[in-house]
Amino acid sequence: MKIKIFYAIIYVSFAVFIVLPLLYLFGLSFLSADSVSFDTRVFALLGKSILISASAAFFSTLAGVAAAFFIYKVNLPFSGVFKVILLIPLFLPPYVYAVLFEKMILFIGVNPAFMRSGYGLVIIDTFIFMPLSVLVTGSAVSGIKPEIEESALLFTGIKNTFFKIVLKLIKPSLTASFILVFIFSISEFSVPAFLGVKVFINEIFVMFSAFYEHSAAMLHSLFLVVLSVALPVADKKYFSDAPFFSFGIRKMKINAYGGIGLRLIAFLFLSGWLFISFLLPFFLLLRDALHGGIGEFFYTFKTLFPAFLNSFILSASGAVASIIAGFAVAYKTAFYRKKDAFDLMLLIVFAFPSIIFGIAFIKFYGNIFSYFFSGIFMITAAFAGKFTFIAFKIILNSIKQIPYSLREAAKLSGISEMSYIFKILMPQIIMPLTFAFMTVFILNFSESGAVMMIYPPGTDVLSVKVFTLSTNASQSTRSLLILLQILFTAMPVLFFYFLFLKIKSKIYIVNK
Amino acid sequence: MINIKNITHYYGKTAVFKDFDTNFKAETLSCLLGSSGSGKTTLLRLIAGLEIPEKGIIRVNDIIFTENTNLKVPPHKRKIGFVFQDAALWPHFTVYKNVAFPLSEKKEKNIKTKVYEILDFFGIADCGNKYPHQLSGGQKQLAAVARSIILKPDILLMDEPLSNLDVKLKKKISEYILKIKNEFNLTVIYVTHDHREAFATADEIFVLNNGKIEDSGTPEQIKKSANEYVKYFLEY
Ligand SMILES: Nc1ncnc2c1ncn2[C@@H]1O[C@H](COP(=O)(O)OP(=O)(O)O)[C@@H](O)[C@H]1O
Ligand SMILES: [Mg+2]
Repeated sequence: MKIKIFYAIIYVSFAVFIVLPLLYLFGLSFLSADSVSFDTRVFALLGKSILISASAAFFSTLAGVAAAFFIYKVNLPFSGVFKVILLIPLFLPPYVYAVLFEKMILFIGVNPAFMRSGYGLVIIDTFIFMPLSVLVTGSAVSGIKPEIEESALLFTGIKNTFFKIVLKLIKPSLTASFILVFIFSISEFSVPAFLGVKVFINEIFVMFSAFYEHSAAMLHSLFLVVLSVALPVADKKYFSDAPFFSFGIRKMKINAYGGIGLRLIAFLFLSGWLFISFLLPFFLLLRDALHGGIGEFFYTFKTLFPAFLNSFILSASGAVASIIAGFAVAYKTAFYRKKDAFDLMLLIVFAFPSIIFGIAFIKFYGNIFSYFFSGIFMITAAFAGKFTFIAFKIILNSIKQIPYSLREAAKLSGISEMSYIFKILMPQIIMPLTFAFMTVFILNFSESGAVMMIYPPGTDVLSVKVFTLSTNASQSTRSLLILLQILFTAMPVLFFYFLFLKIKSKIYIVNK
Repeated sequence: MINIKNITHYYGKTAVFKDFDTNFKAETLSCLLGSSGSGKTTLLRLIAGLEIPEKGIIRVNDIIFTENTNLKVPPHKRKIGFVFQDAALWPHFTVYKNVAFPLSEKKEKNIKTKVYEILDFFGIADCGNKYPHQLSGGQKQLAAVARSIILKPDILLMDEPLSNLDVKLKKKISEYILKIKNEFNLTVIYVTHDHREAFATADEIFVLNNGKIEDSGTPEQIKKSANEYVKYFLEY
């Protein structure tokens, strides 16, 4: 019975702390609806934003699936290294990446006016979210049994095998990738702000923070919410079938893809992408950032360090909450095969743009509980609301790979459910759990939309501080700030990586 | 004739074959017999061009198919049919489309007639509109065999096609195999770890152990083999 209490606590806290504020926000905005006028200009902006985000989602999925195929299926040297470096842009705050990328674009001589347009936004969003497409489509690609492709290779060439067999088989994950990137892109406000491109989310942001037209901001945001929620829900069958973020261990390379032509194409594509998306921009950043000498570096480091600590604590507590809730829901979905409303709720909440989280939380907690709930709590709750869905998906995939019979055997030998969870299941999925924790941590760490709403600008959360400081900074100071943000992101990643390696080796010894 | 010369093939650091030589006769049903892990599947995959060896030459009728790490002829131009151990039907295609796919890739005409002719031959015409997951194990295997011979290949490679089936189906399918072999003048290499199955169907038997041929010959010759491993293997 203990387990029921555990579930009750999780469900109730999620409902009260995360869903209620969102409902409250919409209640409020409907109450004041008649005092708000809708502007057709704003709808034109919504159309433009949809076009931009849909294009970015399309190109990101296209490039992502090509990279996934090359990484998982073609025998290449260093494909593990490719995979890791390829993911970096996803783990940086979008704003940071935009600064990096623009440097490179200007360096290679592209017209700056072109970059500061809708086209530029599509390009940058494509590069930011392409790693997400690699993760989503990659887990589907690596899930195809080699014989399925090999039996096609006996009748047709590599090209047709890819288009007629591989692509058709992973269709759900292509849709999932498109929808995910679309949702992330359309609710991302810092990149268009940086480029000076007007999009819908920025209009909401301006209404809310500059003109204090709260009801108008909220009502307009409703369109975005409906759009973001409708897509994955309408496509729920595909969306929930797509094995995204699986933690593949199996080796899936196809030796018959070992011809020199394909390997060369794969190698050139991947290394070209790495060079343009990260290596060259990073090199240019380094060059600019270290202009002020080592003294300025340490001075800025010291200035940012308190913000880093805050961000670390906030992100870690958000990630812990997400992992607990995500695990609970995943466990239930995997073993009880009971589809309750909760996983749908996770999905819906996930689809909310994060600045709307920020608005909802500050309204709700600010009005009702202002003495009890600090910004820290609000931010943690916003993180948990936003990214528990991701944790849930990663964990669910890993639990599904554990044979069902292990649980039945445990049951038959009289082991309690809690013991099964902690002594048998957990040790087996410790690596995917680590991966889920790290992913959610990093997403929290680089999140700035909700945080910016909740904290007034200028306070100490790293992503926001870097964003605000660098708005008015000189070229080299801005580069330094961006470089430090990257370093500060790498530090916890490495820290957790080694911590969990240690845990893993301990568990391994215990199991022996 | 399939001529395999000096083949060395590694998985990671362990060699499955080292300077391996053998020949399979044309228009013959050769059985590759050996315990699991002996390299049977790998040998079929090398012949089909699904594995690339570190070194060695694979020739068919004096045409070089594989030379060292190069696939001189890609798998789909080798005129080889391959039946995988677990059928490996394409899950997103119906049985009809699974069998029709090779024909449509070759831009052949009268696809429908050809497909239903062969499905009829295997007694699974009524499964044409079903998807692989809706079939029984035997039907899957029959559909896989149908797919592998639809282009009238010169060579048919079969990897333990009967291992998951019941006795009655085994008998039925091995009769089919003999029938198609004679009808199409096929060269067949048939992999099994079951010596009864080998004796029942083979013209020639090759006993494989740890990447080496211990002995080969007609079923009668193998039964009387003086090789210690072959004697040991046939005891069970
Ligand atoms: N993809 C692979 N990776 C690593 N080792 C493999 C792989 N495939 C087969 N092996 C190893 O190669 C040896 C031969 O395998 P295989 O040809 O499948 O044998 P058989 O079909 O006779 O059972 C075995 O020791 C097996 O473990
Ligand atoms: Mg085998």
